[in-house]
Amino acid sequence: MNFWADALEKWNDTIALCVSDRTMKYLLAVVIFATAGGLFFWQMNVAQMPDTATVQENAQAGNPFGDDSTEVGSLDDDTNREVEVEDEDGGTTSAGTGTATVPAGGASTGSVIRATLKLHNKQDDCWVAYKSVVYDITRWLPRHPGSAGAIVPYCGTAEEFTAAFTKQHGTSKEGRLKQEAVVEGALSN
Amino acid sequence: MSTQGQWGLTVIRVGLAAVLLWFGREQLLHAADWIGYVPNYAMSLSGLPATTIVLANGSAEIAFGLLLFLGLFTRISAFVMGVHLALIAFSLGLNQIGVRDWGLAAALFGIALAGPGTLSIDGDASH
Repeated sequence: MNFWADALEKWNDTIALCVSDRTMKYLLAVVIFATAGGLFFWQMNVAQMPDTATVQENAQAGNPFGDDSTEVGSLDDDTNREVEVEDEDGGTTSAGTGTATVPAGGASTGSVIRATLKLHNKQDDCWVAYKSVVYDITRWLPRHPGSAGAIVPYCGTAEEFTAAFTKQHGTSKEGRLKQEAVVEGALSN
Repeated sequence: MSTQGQWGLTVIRVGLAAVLLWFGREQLLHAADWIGYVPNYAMSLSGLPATTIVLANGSAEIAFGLLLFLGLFTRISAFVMGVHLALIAFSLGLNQIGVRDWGLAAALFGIALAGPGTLSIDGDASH
């Protein structure tokens, strides 16, 4: 016990010696914030750089952007360009003009009957309907902040999922759902 | 305050610092897993994408977590993180995660009021 008490006392004395000056304390705080800032910029660069192996793999497969993207058309010389979205029949639908961004999910203009929706009721194949639009959230499930288990019971459901989603998030996460999920179509009876 | 009370504050301070450091580290390393927590008003007010907000939040939590761990500028750090967690808890609402965050915010406000306790730069260094 004496050893530990002595060690703690020496630790306290060391701290007092090193940072007794107020300037040293401010300097230490600046170093800490600079370190945190460095971590921020480092991870920003890491987040913006694609994983090399993935890029090479997707390039060989003929799709440099990977499976999560939807081809929206070719670039013109103008900044504003016609954006076309491929529908499930193989044709294209104009999505207007402007700067195109490749969404994480695809889009389908078909409809999904309830019986089909109910078949997709597992964690590795999870469809839900929110306000009569069917979404495939299988790929996004592992990234749900509240854990995938919170949503799995609602896979294959429509009104139940809508009610639970609204109760938990209100309308604040609607945009996120539409951004992250793959739209399968409108729900029909 | 008694010696036990001082050590109690130290335990709470270090425990809260560990929580902040862990969450900060997770947000920096796995930002994509946390973008669901970013409220829409944060993106609209800042004009920044969700990933950038998560990374900035993680960096801030690491910085303030370190300050709390060392007991440096403890009261202001604890107050700032308390307000931060209270905002997060408010946006999450009364659910399993939100209620716990309210508790953490309350503990941080307690540290801001009571001070750093023992084994801290604020408490041990002479001014």
